[in-house]
Amino acid sequence: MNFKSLSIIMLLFMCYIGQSQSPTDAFMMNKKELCIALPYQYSFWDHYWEGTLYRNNPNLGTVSQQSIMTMAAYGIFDNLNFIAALPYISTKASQGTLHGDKGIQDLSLFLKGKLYEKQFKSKLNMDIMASIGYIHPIGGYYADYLPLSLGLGSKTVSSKLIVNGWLNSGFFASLSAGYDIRSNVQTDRSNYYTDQFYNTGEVKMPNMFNYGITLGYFRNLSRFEIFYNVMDTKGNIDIRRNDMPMLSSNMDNSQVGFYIQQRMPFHENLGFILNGAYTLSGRNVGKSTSFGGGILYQINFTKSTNSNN
Amino acid sequence: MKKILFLSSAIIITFLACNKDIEIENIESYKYADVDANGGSWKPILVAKPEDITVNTPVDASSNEYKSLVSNMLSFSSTAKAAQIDSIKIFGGNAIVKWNEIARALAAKYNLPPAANADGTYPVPSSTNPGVYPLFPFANPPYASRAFAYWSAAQFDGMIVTWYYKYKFNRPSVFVNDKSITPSLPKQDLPGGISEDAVIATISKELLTFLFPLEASYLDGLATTHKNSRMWAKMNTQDEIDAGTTIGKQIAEKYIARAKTDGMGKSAVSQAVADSIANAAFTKFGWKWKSQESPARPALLPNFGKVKMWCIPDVTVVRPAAPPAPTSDEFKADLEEMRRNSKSLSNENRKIANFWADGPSTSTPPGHWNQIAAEQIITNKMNPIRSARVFAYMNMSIEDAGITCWDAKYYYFTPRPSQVDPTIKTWIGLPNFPGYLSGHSTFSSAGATVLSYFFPNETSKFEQYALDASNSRIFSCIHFRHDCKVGLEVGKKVANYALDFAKVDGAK
Repeated sequence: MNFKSLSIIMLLFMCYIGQSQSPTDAFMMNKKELCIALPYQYSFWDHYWEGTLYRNNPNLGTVSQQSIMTMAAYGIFDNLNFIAALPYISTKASQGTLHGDKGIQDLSLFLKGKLYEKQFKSKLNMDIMASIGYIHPIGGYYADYLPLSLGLGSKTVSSKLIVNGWLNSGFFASLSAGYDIRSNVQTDRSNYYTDQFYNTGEVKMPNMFNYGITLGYFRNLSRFEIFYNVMDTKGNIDIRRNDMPMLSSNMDNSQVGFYIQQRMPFHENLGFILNGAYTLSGRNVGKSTSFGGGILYQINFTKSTNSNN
Repeated sequence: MKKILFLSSAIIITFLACNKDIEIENIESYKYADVDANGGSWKPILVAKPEDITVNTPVDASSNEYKSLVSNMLSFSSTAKAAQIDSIKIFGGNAIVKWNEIARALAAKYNLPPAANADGTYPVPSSTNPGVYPLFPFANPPYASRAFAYWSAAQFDGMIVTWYYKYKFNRPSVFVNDKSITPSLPKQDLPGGISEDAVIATISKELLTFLFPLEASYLDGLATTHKNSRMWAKMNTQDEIDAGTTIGKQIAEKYIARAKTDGMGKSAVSQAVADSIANAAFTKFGWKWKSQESPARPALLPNFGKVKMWCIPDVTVVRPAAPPAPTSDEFKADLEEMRRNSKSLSNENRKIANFWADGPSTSTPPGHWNQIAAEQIITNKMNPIRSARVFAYMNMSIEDAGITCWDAKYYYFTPRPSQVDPTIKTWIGLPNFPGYLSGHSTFSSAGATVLSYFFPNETSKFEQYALDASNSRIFSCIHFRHDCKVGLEVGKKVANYALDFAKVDGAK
């Protein structure tokens, strides 16, 4: 986790669940297929970047976050999916007096479509996907409580473009780039100073650009991926020396991670996932490490209708 | 599919088109509710009488010299560029309030506790070497309360002297003398002769530069722009600006002389003195405060309680009785309340805790009360001398409240709730100094009492604010209820000393 709990899109980055559960991955659900998943994630950091200064803070110790998310993805058409997710999050600092926090974070609703598909010779398939989503804080949580807040509290429109290449052998690669447009956040404070004095509780939120590459293997019931992702917040406010992070801080990071998904041979509808991520570099964020796991369940309404008949 | 793509693009474009810039709203200029023509007879704070400040008699409005001053003003005004015309609006609404906002901005900018050294000690900001980290000053609540008090008391004296000479010389305003001149700001029924804006700008620049030395050139630029804006607005001639500058400088000198000897320089103490304060409390009461920070940070400004007060002869006359003993029922009940609030806090109470947190990188609790006063001043369309009077009495009593509070903090040296029971976690950062009395409660009660005197119709609002500010500390688990309850009582008592002066200062 970063200072923020990385609005859901980034959680999804780390989770990469199901055949088509993520707005950011290379997979699509077929028409009338529903996948539901319940991923859990634990992330922590004991060092962070105060601007560019890499430091620890004995008044926070190790800052950790746990999240459990309910997610669902549904194939409206073969080339258009709807994805929804809602996480419950708790945060904690191992030292100092600051209280941890817990609650429901942001509801996210995404549409993801396959825009283009082409076969090159017989060995290589290419496709292009795009997703657009709306992320809305619903738990009434206190965003202005970094680094222990549950999220950034910003209404976000999130967009992403994904280019995938598939080999018949099961190996694939994805390149993705996305842009999040974030609304300003109204905090309860009456004034604050970041890059200048603000005589208001309103915080101007920078937008966020992100991109990444995923290399994976997918065959039958198994899926393995490794990824490299970059978050590049388009802001210019650094945390000042010995200050607390602010919602408008320019939060950047790069992460590497893995994702494993395995469906059960004895009951193919059921699967489990394992994932992890490690922060390589950052600015105004924690140097986080995260691990997660969960279960997923896939239902095909077309088939079940048929079998009933 | 195409429809969806189109819709998606439309959503993205709509969001991109949203302007997220936070508008910095200027105060809309207004005609003063009253000009307080007798303002020159009011009793100043530090200046004994207006004649102690000297200024040359302005040239007569019928003289040729005056005519050329006016024509210079008009030609200067005609060359004003867009940004310069903006500055007319920036300072033209209410210059006292505008400079108060600038002071609050500086308080917020400098309100950051220094980071620890690698060896676990803490560096101390140095007024003689302000630019070396940690930058001088650390504008913590006591420092800020003092800054606002000096700035506003000086403005009040400045306005009294200005009003005195304005009416004594009684040279008409530029636009009264020459009816063909239409200024860019409302015409006020005040004599000319001296630019009150130049007085305000000069005092602000001089005092804020003393208090925030690294901002010297920024403040100089603002003061120059402010003064020029009066000529661009066709409100003042150059000689009026110069007369105001002369008055402002003399006033500022008197206040800076007081500030240099008020004891603030000795408010931080050596480790040996800090230890002796801790041990004295332990011997007397059987408890002592300990820093909950890691590494342990020396308590904030132990001798701020010894700083010279504005309206109270001696801090011990307002020192509260000892807090309840840890064995008392009251203490036990207050401790239980901390445990409950730490366990869970309603959204409503957490909102109050956050709104009144006024922690690092904000303008501090005294700054928050200045923001409240500023809004009230604007609503009441107050003129500069009235505005300054409100700020002066409020901020003097807020600094006196801070001094009283700090005296009690170090006399009694009580632990914070999280020291008494480490399972008590806080909803905002825990301040690094003893608990009894709650600073915010004392500041807020003083602020509310003074503002209620000036704006009696709003009394219940101010009292509610003070109560919320006080409760915010209980909700966030950084203060026991008895710290806050007594803080409110003491703040009110302190403010009444200031009001004893205000009631007989000649203003109604």
